[in-house]
Formats: sequence, structure tokens, C-alpha cells
Amino acid sequence: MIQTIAVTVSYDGGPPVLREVTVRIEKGEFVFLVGPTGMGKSTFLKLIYRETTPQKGKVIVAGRDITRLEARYVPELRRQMGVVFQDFQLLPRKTVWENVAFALQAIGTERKRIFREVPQVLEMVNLTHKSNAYPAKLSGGEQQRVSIARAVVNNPAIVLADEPTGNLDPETSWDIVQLLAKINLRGSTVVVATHDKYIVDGMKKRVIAIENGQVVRDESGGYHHVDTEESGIFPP
Amino acid sequence: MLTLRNLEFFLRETSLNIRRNALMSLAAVSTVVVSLCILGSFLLVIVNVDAMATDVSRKVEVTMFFNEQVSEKKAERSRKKILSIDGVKEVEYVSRETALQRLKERLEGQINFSDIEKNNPLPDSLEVSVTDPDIIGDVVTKLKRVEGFDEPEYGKKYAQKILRFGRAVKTIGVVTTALLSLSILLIINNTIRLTIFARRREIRIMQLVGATNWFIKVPFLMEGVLHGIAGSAVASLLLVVAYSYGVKNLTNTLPFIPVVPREALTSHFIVVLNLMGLLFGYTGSLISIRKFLANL
Repeated sequence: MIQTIAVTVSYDGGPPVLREVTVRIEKGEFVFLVGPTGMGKSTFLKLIYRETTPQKGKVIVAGRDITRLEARYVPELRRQMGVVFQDFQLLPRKTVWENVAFALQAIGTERKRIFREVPQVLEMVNLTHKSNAYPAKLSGGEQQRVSIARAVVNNPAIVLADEPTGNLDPETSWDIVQLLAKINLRGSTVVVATHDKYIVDGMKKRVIAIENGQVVRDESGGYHHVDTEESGIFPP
Repeated sequence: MLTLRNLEFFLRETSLNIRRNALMSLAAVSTVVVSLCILGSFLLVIVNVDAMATDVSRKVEVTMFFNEQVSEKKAERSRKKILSIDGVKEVEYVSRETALQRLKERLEGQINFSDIEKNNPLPDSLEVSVTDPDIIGDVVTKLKRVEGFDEPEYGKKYAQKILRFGRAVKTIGVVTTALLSLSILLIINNTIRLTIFARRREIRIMQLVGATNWFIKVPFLMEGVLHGIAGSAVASLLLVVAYSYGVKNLTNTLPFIPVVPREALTSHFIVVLNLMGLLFGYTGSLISIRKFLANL
């Protein structure tokens, strides 16, 4: 489903953020990308949703090399994926319902389908009762659930989550990851970038550790094993 | 593709955006109003000076009145004779009937023509235009030698001065119009840029969910066009009212100045001004949204 082949990325001629990274993620997998902040996790995700392009190497998504994808084909690629962020990225002046519907409206989806899909996805994230609420009235966990609902309302093949629990307490974080797991069970390939040891250890899924721009560990069903003595971010 | 459901989305987003940024919209519309008022005033001056210049350039023609009533044959002979004179460009025979008809058109509604029509006092004439207004004096000297005519009539100095003045005003007008257009474009561009900046998160989300650039652009373009049209509508209303008032006063106080009547101007003027507003709004917003999307 997702494959990077010897990918190197650097910004503005600086040192590489990713160096010769080769990763293969199969269809339907649930993968954690772990590693200290600023070590290339977000860049890896950005490569997949074509926010950035590598200086070297190839990125293949759904069998298609997107490295040299023309800008006009990027929207088509992105319709196959949903992206979730740490800061939720909700539109403050739209209600929960409108925020989710917006993702469909923005790609010209017909009304009938919007009215069918939005309630379904809101039910899945357990927010039907908050349909008419504005984001400011929601808790952090609820806001992230809206953001997830928006990401998956188009039934994407891939769901990418960049530190989705970064702003949440441990219990809510766990709920959010469970929700992502549920989405994975519906058939979407899920890639979660996180440095939350608690959820990674708890989920027992495949873990790809990126440090200093390189994959230092890739274990299916593995734990969070990054050496933390130097970075201090990951407690033993 | 622009379908009904997309249109509905665009209209909703555009109106929401205008309502949310009411002050910004007001600023954009007022800017268009002020700019187009200045621009429109220039256009009105240009149109009038142009009309005046055309009127005067017609007077650069030398009119040669036959000193007696002539047959068409004789008139044609005289016409050919004059046409052979150096510096003469064209010679047109104007029969007394045609002359009366022209007078009627010019003074329509101002004079009762029924008496004049019965006993046409106008003479037959030849209208002589010259290849270059500067040599008109020499041509007239030669024309004076042709027999069968009264003294040739023309207004040399007056004509040349007005023509020069007309050219100068036109040039200034064109340059000013171009500069004003550019500044209007920049101002609209800036205003739209601010609204785009205020909606950058929305644009980002649209991009992430796979909206095409075209889809992202449309609400902003619609907004720009609406600002442009609203501004130009107000500006044309103000200008038409002011112009009507000005024309009325001018024809009363200085009736010899040929002013383009409001009726002859209004519809064209309004169309031109509103098209300009539309174009400014569209181009201004297109530039800023394209720039914004390119920088992402």
C-alpha cells in the first residue's frame, strides 16, 4: 500500500531529515512511527500525502510512484487518504456536522451522499449528540474525534495520524487510538506517528522507529524500544 | 465541473465569508467605489473632450457655399475641380436639402422646422477636407480662386488648439486610467489577500481532503467579483447622478460647449464601468489566491 525506497529528504539545503529510508507498509496494516520529536516522523507522513517530495528515492502509494506526481493529480491522491493532526485543525466557526461535511463538500460530493455519510461517521466516533456543537464547546478528545471523523468520512484507503494524542490525557489518548484501530478493522491502512510510549506499548502493533532520519527499528508486533538515555524523551 | 451542488457550496461559502469579514468587504467595496469614481470621472472627461474634438475636427473642413442655386451636374463639375487641388483630401457635395436634414437632426426638438421646410434658406455647398490641418491656409488661398462660391468658411486656430488640447487630454486620460486601474487592482488584491490569510486553515483542510485548486479558488473569485460589481454599481450610480446634474447646469450656463448628453452616454458608461469593476475584482482575487496557493 505504501512504500518508500531509499528516500532522502532535506529542507532548504539543510541536513537530511530522512536518510535513505526504505519502508514497506502493506494494505490493512496498523503501524506506529515512533521516535523523538523533529527526527523525521512527520516528514515521513508528509511524503505519503505529498506535502513534501524527496530529493532522492521513491515514494509509492497504492502502486503508483507519487515522487514526480504532477500537482494537478495531488487532489486525486489525497482523496484516498485521511489525515489527522495533533492540533485537530477544525474550523472554529463550523459545527461538528459542518466540519465533517466540509471534507465532502470540498470535493464536490453530492448532497444525498453527504447526508448519508456524515451521520454514520459521527455515530462511529460517538458524537451524534454533539452534531450541532462548535469545536470550542468540545473537550480535546471530542475535537480529535471530530477530526478523525472528517478524515475517514470519505472512506479513505489510508489514514495518517500525526501525533493524534499529543494534546490529550492518557485515558483519552487510549480511546483515540482504539478508534483508529476500529477504523483499521474497517479496512483502512493506518499509520500513526507518535512518541507516546504508553499507547504504543499497549497496542502491540508494528512499530517503525525513526531516529536521526533513519529507521533504527522495525518490528512487527514489537514494543517501543528506542534507546532513550540520550534523547531523554522515552523513559525506559 | 460546475454543477448545481457545487454552485450551492460556492455561494454559501462566499456569502459566509463576506458576512464574517463584513468590515473587510466594506473596505474592499468602498475602495472600488472611490477608485472607480475617479476613473469614471476621467472617462467622462475623455468622452466629452473626444466628442468636442470630433466636432471641431469636422469644422476643420472648409465649407464652400455656392453663390447661387446649382444643378447636380454643375455641382459635380465643381467638386471634381476642387478635388484636383493640392492638399484637398475629400470633397462632399451637400445639397440644401441634406443641409436642412442635418440641421434638423442637430437641433431636434429645439426649433419648429415646419416653416423652414417650406422655404429652405440654406445654400448648396461643398465640404472640403484637407490632407493635413496645418496646410489649410494654403488650400483656402487656392480655393478662393475658384469661381461660383462665397468666401470659404473655416475656423483654423480654434480648430487646431482644440485638437491639440483633445490629444493631450486623451493621453493624460489613458495614462491616468492605466495607473488608476493598476492601483485598484493592487488594493483589491491586498484586501482579498487578507481574507485569504484569515481563511488559511480552511484552504489547508480543503487541500488535505483533496479539493482541487479550482474548487478552492472559486469562492474567492466570486467574492472578488461581487466586491468589484458592488463597488462599480455604487460608483456608476454616483457618477450618473453627478453627470446629469453637471450636464444640466453646463447646458444652462454655457450652452455653446458641446456636452455629450446623459442619455447618449448612460447605458454604455454603466456597462463599461461595471465590467471594469468585475474585471478588477476577478483579476485582483485571482492574483492573490494563485500566489497564496503557489506558496503553500
